[in-house]
Amino acid sequence: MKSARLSSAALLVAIFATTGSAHRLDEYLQATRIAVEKDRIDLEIDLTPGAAVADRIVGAIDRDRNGEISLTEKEMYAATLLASLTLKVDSETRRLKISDLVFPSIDEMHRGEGVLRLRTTASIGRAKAGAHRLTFANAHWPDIGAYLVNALVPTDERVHITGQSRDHLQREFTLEYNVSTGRASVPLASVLPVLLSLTLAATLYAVARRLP
Amino acid sequence: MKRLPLVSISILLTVLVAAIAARPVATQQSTGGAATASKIVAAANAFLGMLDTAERAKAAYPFDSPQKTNWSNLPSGAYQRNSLRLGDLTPPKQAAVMAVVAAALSAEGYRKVTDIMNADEVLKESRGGQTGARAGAPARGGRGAAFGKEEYYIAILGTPSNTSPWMIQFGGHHLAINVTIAGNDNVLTPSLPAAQPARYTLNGQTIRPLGKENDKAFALMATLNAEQRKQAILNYRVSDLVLGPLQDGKTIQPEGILATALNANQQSMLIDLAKEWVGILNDEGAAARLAEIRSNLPRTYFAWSGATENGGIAYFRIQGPTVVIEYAPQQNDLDHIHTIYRDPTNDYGARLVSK
Repeated sequence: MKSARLSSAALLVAIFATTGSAHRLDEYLQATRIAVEKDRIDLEIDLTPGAAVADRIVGAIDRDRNGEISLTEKEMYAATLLASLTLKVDSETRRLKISDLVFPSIDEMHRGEGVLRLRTTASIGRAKAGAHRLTFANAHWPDIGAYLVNALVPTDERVHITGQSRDHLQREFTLEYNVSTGRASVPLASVLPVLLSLTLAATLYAVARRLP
Repeated sequence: MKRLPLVSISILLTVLVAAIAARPVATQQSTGGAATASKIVAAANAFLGMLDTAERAKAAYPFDSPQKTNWSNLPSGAYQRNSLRLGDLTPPKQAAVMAVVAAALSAEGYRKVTDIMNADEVLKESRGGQTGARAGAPARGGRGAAFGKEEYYIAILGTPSNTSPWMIQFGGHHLAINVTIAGNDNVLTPSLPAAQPARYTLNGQTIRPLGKENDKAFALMATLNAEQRKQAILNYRVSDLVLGPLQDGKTIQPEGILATALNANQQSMLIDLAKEWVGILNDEGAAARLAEIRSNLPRTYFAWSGATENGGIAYFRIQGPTVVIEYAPQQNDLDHIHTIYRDPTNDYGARLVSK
């Protein structure tokens, strides 16, 4: 059985290698985007097994080999994935909770087109004003992994990214950021018309009251 | 009593002036050509007018249809586009499709599109004319990926108009062209020009669909001094697009060298490099987008990963307030290139439509 699977994988490699393909072949692409908010860290992780390594990944997911991915199998694989991720903020390990999980079909994975989408979040409480350091490490399938990791521009204007660094393969990522105090500022352009309208209304009201 | 109108008028004028002054600068810059817009509308109406009911059902969508984001770099068969397939049309209707594309794009942009489609035809032929990705797979409609010039699709979202926004979506394997037209202005973002093979021979000519992108980027890198390279070159491998398909609405923290750290000649080369993507669009639309990119140069970054000598494999990214361009060879293969062009403020014409 095992040798048959290996032969199948080898055949796929041969087909794709000789004819060209639209798809990733012998790598397991793992793209992570990190969003830093004032009270939490959100991680979007997209995992795409190449066609030539899909058998290995499918085998790790579809444990009963029935050709379908059950909820239990999804949760077990997600737990394995989370166990291979490390997120720290200011040297303190943060627990990642799954907020969304979408699996492709086994067939899509065999074609090298299936994307497993995992969304996680880690609560960090109300971040204190000042400098902070986030570190993220991904040790999931390191022998075939191809990694991307990027920080998203913070939506909260009080969070400012000041630096980022990675190892050559993007398995390890460090993000430096500052949190400032005060309320999030609102762009002047969006409030100016409202303020002026209110001023206009108040002025008209005041003038009208003076009229006989 | 006489003072009331005077007070009201003066306050209203103040409000008006303040509101105009408070508008974002970028929204004041977009101008386009009425003639070009009319030409695109005419081509789209001519195409739609040739379709029967079944074809029209596949080609025409409401402007805000989910079809808007239904594009991919993947070949048909591997990705369900839903829209109208070139191979299912008669030659005159196929010509009408390409006339729509030609009307919306520049001459150079149209050439790039056809070069990418011809590359896919070469890919198909290299497979012995077979379209199935796996032995025994059906050529279309099933599990098999399908390649070749017939495997490109068109959708028109909204009603072609000189006033209301509408959109042309054309694409297939290694190609996604999304042109949103609003009045006389239009945008190309998001779009994905890619190529495999990235070099082939057709009618005795060597074709490199994305050759200028590659060569101009390496030429720019060659002008960077040691200090500039230190800032531009990322010390890590980038193996794919970061903001490819399905990554709408995301903005990553920029990296690399800020354009203000480049000299005037290098800045011109950077703009010229970006023009390879922006200039796919018709000349009027492209000019407006390039003006925005130029005005935002002080906040634009250029990042590089990989070899610095032409002929090597390198990823690069141009990122500014109104532009994200990525160029990513796939799995260390110079013959398989993916790229993406986005405008964080104007994907699917978001800024034009909100006017």
